[in-house]
Amino acid sequence: MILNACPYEKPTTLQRLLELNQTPGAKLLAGGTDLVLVMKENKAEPALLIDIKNVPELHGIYAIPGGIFIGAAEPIQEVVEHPLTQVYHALVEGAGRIGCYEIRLRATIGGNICNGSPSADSVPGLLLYDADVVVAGRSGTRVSTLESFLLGPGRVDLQEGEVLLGVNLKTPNPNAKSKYYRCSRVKGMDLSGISAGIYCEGKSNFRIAFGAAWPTVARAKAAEEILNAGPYTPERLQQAIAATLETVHPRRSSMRASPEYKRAMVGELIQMGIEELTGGACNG
Amino acid sequence: MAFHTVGSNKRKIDGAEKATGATVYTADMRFPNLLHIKVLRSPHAHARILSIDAGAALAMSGVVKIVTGADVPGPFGVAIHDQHPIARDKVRYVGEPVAAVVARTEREAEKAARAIVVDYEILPFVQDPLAAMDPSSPVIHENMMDYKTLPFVRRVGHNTYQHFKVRKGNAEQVMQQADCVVEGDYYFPPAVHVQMEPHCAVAKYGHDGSMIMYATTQAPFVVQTTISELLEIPYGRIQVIAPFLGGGFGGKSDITIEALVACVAKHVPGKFVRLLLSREEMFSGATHGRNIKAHYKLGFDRAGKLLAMIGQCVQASGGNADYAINVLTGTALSGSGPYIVPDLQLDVYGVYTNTQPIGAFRGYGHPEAHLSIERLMDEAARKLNMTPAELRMKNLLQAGEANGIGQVMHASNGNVRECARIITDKLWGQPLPKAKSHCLVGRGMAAYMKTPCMPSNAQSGALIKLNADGSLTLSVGAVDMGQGLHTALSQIAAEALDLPFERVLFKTSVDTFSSPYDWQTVASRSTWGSGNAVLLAAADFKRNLKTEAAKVFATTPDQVAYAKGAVSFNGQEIPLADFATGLRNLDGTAITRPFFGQGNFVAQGVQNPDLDTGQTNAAADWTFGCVGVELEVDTRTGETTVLRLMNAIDAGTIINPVLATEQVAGAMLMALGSATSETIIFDEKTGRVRNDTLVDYKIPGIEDIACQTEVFFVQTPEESGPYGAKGIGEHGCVGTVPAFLNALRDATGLDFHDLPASPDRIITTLKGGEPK
Repeated sequence: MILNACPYEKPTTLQRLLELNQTPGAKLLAGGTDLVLVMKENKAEPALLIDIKNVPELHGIYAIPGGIFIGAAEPIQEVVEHPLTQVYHALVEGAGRIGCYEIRLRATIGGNICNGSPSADSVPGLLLYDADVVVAGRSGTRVSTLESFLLGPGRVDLQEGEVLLGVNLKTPNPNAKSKYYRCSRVKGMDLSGISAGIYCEGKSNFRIAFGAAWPTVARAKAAEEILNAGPYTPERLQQAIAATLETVHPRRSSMRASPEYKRAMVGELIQMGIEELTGGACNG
Repeated sequence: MAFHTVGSNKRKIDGAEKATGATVYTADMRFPNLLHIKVLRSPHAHARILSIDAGAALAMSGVVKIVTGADVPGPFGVAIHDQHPIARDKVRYVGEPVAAVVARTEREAEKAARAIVVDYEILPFVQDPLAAMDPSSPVIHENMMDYKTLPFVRRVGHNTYQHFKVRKGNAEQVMQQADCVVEGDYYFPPAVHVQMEPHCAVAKYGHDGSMIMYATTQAPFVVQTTISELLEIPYGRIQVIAPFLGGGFGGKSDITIEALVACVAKHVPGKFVRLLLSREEMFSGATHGRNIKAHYKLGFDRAGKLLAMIGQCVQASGGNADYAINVLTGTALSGSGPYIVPDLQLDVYGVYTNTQPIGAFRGYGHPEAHLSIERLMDEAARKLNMTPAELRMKNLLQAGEANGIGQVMHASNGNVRECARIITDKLWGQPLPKAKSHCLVGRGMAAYMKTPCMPSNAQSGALIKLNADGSLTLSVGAVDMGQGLHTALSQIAAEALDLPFERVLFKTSVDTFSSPYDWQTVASRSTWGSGNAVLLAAADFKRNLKTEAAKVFATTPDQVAYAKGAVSFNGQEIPLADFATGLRNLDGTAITRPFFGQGNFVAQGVQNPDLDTGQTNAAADWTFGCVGVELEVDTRTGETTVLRLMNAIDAGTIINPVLATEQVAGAMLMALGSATSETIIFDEKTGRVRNDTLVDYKIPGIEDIACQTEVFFVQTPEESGPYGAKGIGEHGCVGTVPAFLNALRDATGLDFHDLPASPDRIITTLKGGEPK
């Protein structure tokens, strides 16, 4: 139960949003599918709730030079269905695993990123395509990598008063393919126990991102380096898995997946993804 | 026997209202000047309450009253008086009520509850059933031996409040001569009902000393009785109304939050007070189910004949055990499975633990016993080199054979062998599907039996009222919680009175002031018990009708014929409707008087269970069946997909095949939740339920439903049932878990002895040996 009423504003311009966001203790509200729950648990008591859904700059999915822009306040389901997002397969698949249809109409892509969950389903797909974040503050707008934006569980690189406007995605290489895999306790609505996005261009330029393996969603850089250092072989795959596992040390207290399961799945998901994307190239 | 309404798929009478969201549930009701209750719950699993300071809380905005254990009577109970509406002196699980705040709004009540200061002396706690039996474990009820109990409670001491023995022959001795012995430990962990509708009760204690309560209950008459005893309000002055119920599954049987709400209401006379549990409180402050650890040993001869069975079941019953104790009876009565067991030794124990109290849960102790037996039957079949079906077929009960408690089965009890034959044919009769890449497929079965576990005098009543349009209004004391009972009873009434189904209307809410008495709507007994009452009421209605008609026809009642809603004599016919407002002579004088049809049913010859041998006529009837599971396991992710899920059940005559199929299929899906994903995770340090939301207590979603679900009815008429019918609400839960685990064993070789067999545990076990 939310115990105390808090002030609420719904600005219609970015300038007003940025002004309001100077308020100490203010929280940004988009779909509320995370924030409202946290407020109900009395783990957050915002001094001001700023509803960002009416700010035009945070909306729209449209082409920009060299790629597309997805507004932070766009509902997840919009990301799943929009014609411009369909080439980013792992993003569409991952976003489509969030909650249920009704939740996806409410939840936003910006919220899924800024909530900072290590298991955010839309984020592996974004990382595979080297997404950038567009952040607005009082002193202007900055663009940085999504990778550098994710700091830790529940933490993203938003400075005081800053707002995520959206993400930029580069137009992918025409032969790029990607997949999103998620292990959960039930096939129905659930949070991810561990997930992976796998990307490749033909049988090269492999990219791998994991959710719920590390404190943030992140790329498996060591594995990528090994896989991309030469022609694809089963041995290289095993080395890539081993290199990844060296960095995966999940905590035991998770109710969603045991450390043993997460570690077992790290290898399986890399292998499954590469096999599927490259047409069963590996039987190792 | 040909029926016109029984056996046809009549539409659910409450379907349209429910599907459109128009049905009014308890929490939807509005009351003038309603006050709200919020409960402060114990953060400790086991602690002494040293002091409660509610001073600051009482001064807070909107707060009307704060009630603690010292302000309310207790202990109370039915079988064992071991619980307090609000904890007094001690708390025994995390979530036990410590204080109740009454305020103008829920928010004000919640804020004040947080401001109450409680000083606890924290005690060591115990949650595991076997650990709680150990004499070195902390004692949870120091005065257990002094509690008021019913005669069937046999306390052992320490934490063991019940020991139910079933004894037949000399199982220990016979076991030594067995050619093949299988044994193992099995654990059915606690489960939560997850009814869509959370518990809610609204009560007002009148200035005239009466009490009215609207409650989400399967048991309005139990609530009435218990409140009367607890608060010393005369029984007749308590009116309990059970509106539509949004799911029960046993979790709303007996008395739950109603005791606390009644006690609090008495402190604010003249005002309606309401308690509505949050979803989180449905995990911490309501009953759980199951939680039984069992060890079973089965001995066979070389030919596969079951010679002896030795079983021990220990239930972690929680901080109080008034409900759990009856669940144990269910485990004891069904503890030999649906088999001929010549020599049987079964010990069923209930022990207090620092966990949520165990209550009824769809299946009522039967799934717990069947988990062990049906897993071991498969193990024995492997040892004896037989198929699971062959070994079961050699041992399944049939007419003329005695079950575990010595009741000789009659043909009308049902044909479990036919059920097993159907499943064997359907499951193994077609080739094993080709496994997808990286997948394994397997099949398993489990046979089962279930009795409505109830007091020997469990009654049901029905009342039929005639309306001026010739329709009838039927009222019973049994609650429809979504299972379709009121539709089935309408069909029985329409059949009995030779009327179109649409002419039978139903009083859908149960009101203890006006509804006929009914023990409670549990145990899959209501189609049978209330159905019998409806039949008796219909017969009474016809008798009364003919008596009145005879006056009009100037003849004797036996000369009056009744058919299709009209009485006739000598070529004259009078429609039913005319009798509703009364027939008159030409001069205006009345000829007929109004009448009801009333029927009251109680099973004959049911005895109290015998706690020393179990050998008694303690079960009113039995229902048999068999489950089949065909599944696929992805060996990379551990994900299981149930390809085919089937149940052959002999539940007598089926009143409404679609509703009956949904009941069985729904129960099987519920059990699959336990098998694959559901479990309560207790925090090791504090003993609290960590996964007290649906985010982390994972019930199956629509995506988890079996690819194909089939229910086969073997309709052996039950001689004690209305038109040969009996209940069907719980049975799908009884054999599904072991059938699933047997199929998983068949597919993967993994031998799970506990639950859930989640993807995580399947993978870690495949990679690391035995299940852990």
